[in-house]
Amino acid sequence: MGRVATSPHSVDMRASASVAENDKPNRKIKERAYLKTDRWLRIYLVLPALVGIWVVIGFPLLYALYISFHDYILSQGGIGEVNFANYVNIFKDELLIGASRNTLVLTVSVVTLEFLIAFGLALLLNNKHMRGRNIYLLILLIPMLMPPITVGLIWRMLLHPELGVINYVLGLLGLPQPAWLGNPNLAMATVVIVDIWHETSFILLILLAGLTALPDELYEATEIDGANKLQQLRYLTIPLMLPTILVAILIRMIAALKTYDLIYILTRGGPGVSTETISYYIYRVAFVFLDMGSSSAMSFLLLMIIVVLTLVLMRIMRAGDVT
Amino acid sequence: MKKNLFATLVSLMVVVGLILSACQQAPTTPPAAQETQPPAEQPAGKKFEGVTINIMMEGVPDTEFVQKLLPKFEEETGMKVNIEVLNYALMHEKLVPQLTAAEGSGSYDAIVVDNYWVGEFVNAGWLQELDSQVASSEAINLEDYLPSMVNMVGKLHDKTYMIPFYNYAMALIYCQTPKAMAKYKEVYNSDQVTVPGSIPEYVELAKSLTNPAENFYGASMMGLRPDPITMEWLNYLYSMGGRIYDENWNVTVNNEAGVKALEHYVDAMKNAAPPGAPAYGFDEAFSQVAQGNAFSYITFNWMLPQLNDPEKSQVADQCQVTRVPGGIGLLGGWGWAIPKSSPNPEAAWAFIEWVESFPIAKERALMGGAPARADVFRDGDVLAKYPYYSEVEKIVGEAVPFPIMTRSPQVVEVLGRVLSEAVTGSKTPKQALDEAAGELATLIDK
Repeated sequence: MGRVATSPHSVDMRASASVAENDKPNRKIKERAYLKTDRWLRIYLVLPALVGIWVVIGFPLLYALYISFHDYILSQGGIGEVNFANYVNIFKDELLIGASRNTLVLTVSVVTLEFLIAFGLALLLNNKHMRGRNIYLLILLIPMLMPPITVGLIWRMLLHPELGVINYVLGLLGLPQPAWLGNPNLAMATVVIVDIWHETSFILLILLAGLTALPDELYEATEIDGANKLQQLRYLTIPLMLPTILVAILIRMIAALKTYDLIYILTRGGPGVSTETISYYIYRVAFVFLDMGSSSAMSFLLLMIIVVLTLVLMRIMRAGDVT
Repeated sequence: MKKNLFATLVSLMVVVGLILSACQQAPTTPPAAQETQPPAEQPAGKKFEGVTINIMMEGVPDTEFVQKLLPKFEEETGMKVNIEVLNYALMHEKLVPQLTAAEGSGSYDAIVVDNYWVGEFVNAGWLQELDSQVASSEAINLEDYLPSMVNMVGKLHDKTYMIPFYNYAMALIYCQTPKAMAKYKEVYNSDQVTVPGSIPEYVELAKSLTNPAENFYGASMMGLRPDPITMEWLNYLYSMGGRIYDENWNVTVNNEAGVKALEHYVDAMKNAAPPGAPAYGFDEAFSQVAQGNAFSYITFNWMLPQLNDPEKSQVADQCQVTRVPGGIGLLGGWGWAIPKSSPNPEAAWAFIEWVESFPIAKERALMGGAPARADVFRDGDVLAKYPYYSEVEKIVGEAVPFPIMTRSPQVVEVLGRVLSEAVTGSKTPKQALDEAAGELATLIDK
């Protein structure tokens, strides 16, 4: 409020700065008083949202944690006896171990490939003089707007070995027409391809936003110093983009670890168990076997893994900020 | 300027994305339970004026026929019937939370129960007993139904929990298209197809007609987990004399008959079916036959009217239905039930009485529906339109149902997984069935 009393038009800039400097203590005292008197008001204003968040997130989480230590099969009545074995059994469950292996393969593949493709595309699109840049961007972002179920259904039709467009085109070119989802050696790769098509635009969007925000001055300075484009990428763009890159990878990795919908539509975990992921397996235990106790224990373990990975990545990010 | 444009574009995308997501999550749950309650004052005349009931059903031809006939019922009774149509794979997971709701507080007034779910739903105590309603009903008498249907989706533990709705007994459908017959003549030097008498003969026939170079296969198959592959293979198992459990609930799926049945199934999948068949569901398997790319497939008997419909198929009027080679196939079927969580059981029963009354059941059959009532199977008008229904009646009467037990859906899951592993070659038929046997032993009712 003090700044308003000092008209910027009445005195020169130096005088104005001096007045503002003198007003600072007063302003701080007033702000402190204001904050103190309105402290309860602020609490009251935030309280509904806080309670809401705890009711919709906190309660289900605690309830799931509770049932994860109990026998609880929906078709056999209510919550049964305490059963710590739900957690022990996870490590003996060979199907879950297989699903974990598949999930790891899927996550590493999609995150790596999507990042590389998205980063390349983001560098290309970051050229402000590129003609039709926004049109390219719009086209590239379309897959991101589609719900995974729709993506799965579209690709299931496109990939149909005999009736799908992809094999039809491959046939015209005289190339082999594989059974994309019916061949156990190819099914996971096919899921990865579909996921890349769907999710790359998400990473692209984050990386492009990061690149757009980089200051032009640094590039101009390095250009004057004689740096070529590759050196600019190596010594300027990548170090400056590191926090953004880590955020993009982190978000994508968490989502990839939970992959369920694409698997459900494309393969239902098959052929055999070649594409069964942790989330799909948990879904089967919960909604087909109706075993809420075991499935909650598995879900909590998955949650723990994701939390640990997130913390590790955040630590790396913070270390990057310090250096 | 460019940054502004970029920001606008991104905002636009986010908004469109949110709208699309909202569309995807469009409410599939029926209106709240309160809406199903009758109004305080009912106008005289129509008993259920202003009452709305909700029913969840699978997207199959028989559901379409019920929907087509509904206006008549709504006009007569004043009741509004909301039918929520879902894909089969989504039904069980959506039904269970509703069935576990407190008495009268669920979302569905009536439900349709697949035979896989009968043991689970009844033993969990989720369904109302219907004996008193049936005893006082003029429209429904369980004596009018085929006994095999009543035993599967009617009575359990000597009590009535369901009224049979339609059958999906599996059968062999084969199409004598010019392409198929040319190949048949080339191999067997005959213009007349001889229906194979056993599964091994059928697999040999299907293999001999297969010609991948011309994109033609002897058998369209469905290897998708869990229910398509399980249902299809059970025909091989039953027909070759095997069973999942014997009469004392000992696991027999991995005995000699079971292993042989799986060996023939894998042989057919590898050498007589399209290369993508290990991932086919019902629709893909149907498409191959409907497009004239396959000679035959083991499927629901009521797929025949679909294949003979020129709007849905390129092989119309060239297909026939017969028993699964070897004689005994899998019997499947659905029954109407009223859950204990039904907000309006009285209105639900009125609907079931109407939809299962002889005239309506006959009308459904004439539209191409799959009857459960013996009197509909034997009706002159129905037989005049579908002469093969006399054969279907025998198929339904002789077919063997899936074991009725609390954890039947889990049995399907286990079988689906190991069968798929055998098809992909990651396990031999014996290894796959031995693994299944171990798990199936833990799933029997204690």
